[in-house]
Amino acid sequence: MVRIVLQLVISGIAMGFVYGLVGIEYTLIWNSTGLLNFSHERIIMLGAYVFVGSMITKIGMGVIPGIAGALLFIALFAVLVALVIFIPLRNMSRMCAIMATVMLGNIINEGVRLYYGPEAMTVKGFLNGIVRIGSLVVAKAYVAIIIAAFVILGLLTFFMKKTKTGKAMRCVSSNKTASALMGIDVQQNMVITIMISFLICCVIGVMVIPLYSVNQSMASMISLKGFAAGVIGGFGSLPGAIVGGLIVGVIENIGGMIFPSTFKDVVAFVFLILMLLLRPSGVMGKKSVTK
Amino acid sequence: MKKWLSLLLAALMILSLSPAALAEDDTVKIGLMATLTGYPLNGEHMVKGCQMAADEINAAGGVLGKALVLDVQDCSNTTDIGINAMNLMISNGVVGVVGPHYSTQCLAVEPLIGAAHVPMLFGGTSPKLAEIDNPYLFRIRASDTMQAAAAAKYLVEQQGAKNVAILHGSDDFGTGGMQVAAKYFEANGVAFTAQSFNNDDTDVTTQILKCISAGCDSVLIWATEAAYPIVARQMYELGLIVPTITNPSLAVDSCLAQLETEWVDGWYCVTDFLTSNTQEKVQNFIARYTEKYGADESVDLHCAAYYSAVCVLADAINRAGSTDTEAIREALMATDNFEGMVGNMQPNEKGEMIHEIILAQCKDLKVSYIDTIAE
Repeated sequence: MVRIVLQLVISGIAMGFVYGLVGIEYTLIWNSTGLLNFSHERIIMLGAYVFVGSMITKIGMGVIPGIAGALLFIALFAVLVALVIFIPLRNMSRMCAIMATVMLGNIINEGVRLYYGPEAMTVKGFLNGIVRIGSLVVAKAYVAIIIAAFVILGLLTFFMKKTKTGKAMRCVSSNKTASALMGIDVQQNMVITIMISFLICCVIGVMVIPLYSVNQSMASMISLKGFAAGVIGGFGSLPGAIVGGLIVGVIENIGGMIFPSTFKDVVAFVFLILMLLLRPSGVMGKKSVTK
Repeated sequence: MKKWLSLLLAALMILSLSPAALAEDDTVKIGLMATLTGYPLNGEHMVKGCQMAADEINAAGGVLGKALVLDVQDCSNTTDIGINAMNLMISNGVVGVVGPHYSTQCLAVEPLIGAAHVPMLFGGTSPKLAEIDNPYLFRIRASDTMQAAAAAKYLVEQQGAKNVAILHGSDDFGTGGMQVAAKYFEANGVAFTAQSFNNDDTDVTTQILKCISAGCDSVLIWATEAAYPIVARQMYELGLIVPTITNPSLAVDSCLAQLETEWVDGWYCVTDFLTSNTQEKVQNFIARYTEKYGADESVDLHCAAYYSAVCVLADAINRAGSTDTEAIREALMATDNFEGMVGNMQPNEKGEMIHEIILAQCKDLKVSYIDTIAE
């Protein structure tokens, strides 16, 4: 029984890092533009399709050049989306902006279906296999995701705190008007933030290929849980997104053991509602003060 | 002048309408509900199979001397879109419907075809569909009652299973298969534990650990294709490596393409269609399909089953001698051993047209024929 509980905790932590990474990319765009990007699950999916369908299958690249190629494509796509959708919409009503991101997601979805075809795909042998910790097992893909999460968190923290552009990003997320008055190019800053967010989506898309294979609904549930992770961790806090992800991952696994297993999603979302009711600022969020 | 102008306009209107009217008279329209958006995307294979059937039928003179035309509607994989698609097809005047493929959607649209008196040749395999009193329902695949019972029987009789884990999707399809298998195990005194998962679950560790802690010596999986990469991988990773049998999803090429050899090596499955089936009619079908769509196009259950559905429907329209839907329904009921790609078709009183199933085994990601099991 102890082994089962430990295995559930380990698997929950591994899944938690996936949710946490999704929470981070969600949070970045929210901080920068004040928009919730409801197309992000499609960006994750697009990154995976570009990596497998174009870089590996069509062009015949290796894994590392393929990842670089997919990241480059997604970075350019992010600039386009930022200039055409996110920046023009940031001052419109929130409903318009939300609908625009939902529609963007649908366009990407149908575009992928038309270009890559309806069949799911994968990369045989990519991050395949398991790592044993005593009697416990973790998929190598999860280990790679955990390492990627720490690297991304470290790079983001360094970028935000030590570089001029990163500091400008923090200023923009804090107060766009004041940032503009201080001479910060807010639009350019938004483009950079959206690009970073989309690049994280692409990394998630590539990393989860061995876990879910590449298909059009591969990111539906992780994007929803990633949002929950962001809220539970404290919306706007990057480390909070990881902590929130870990909480969601472990709670849903343990909940699935106690209750019928199909209720594990219910357990995760009931916990989300409880958090919203009892601690809306999240585990690591700061209470907002309205003056 | 006004009179001549009016006559001219009237003549123009008649001329502009006549090609359409002629086209309507020269065609027999059948509906096709296919999952063209959403996931799993098997609709394109359905459309290709059906289009090939329609092209072959038209090349041979059509039905009732008219061209057979497909009214293809996307039903995605949700019931609301399926209902809209069915309403649209009925309003378009289809004389029969092929599809949908999923039991949940079949259940959702079944009242509509009952009210419209239009026969529907569907592929959903849930046992619930056989319990419905609707004379317009015709199932063109073996039902789960037959498939899941055959799978459960094979585990017990051939693999000596004493304690079985049933891992199944929580939808109508998965639950229906689980109920049939559970009934068989109960009747034969075999212990079992049933664990369900949602189709969009990304982790089934909990379910698999529950099976392991219950001491299961074999596994029966009943789920859609989308679940297999996750369930098979996690069973392998967590060490649940025991004799395993599945529903037909495992035999679909697009599903196998997402799996690693070691995850599913030695697994068994029951299926309606296998490309390795050596029957002449099946190999001829595969040759014609690849000639039409190219060698890269995979041939699977979806194109084969719905190809047969269009053929049997066209045959029924010809035998009915009219496009009256009631006459077509009666002709379908009178179908006598029509040669289909997923078995010969002959409806019983519940509209079940297929009465045989193939048992197969997966080795090196290739599914090989073992035996055909008759009802």
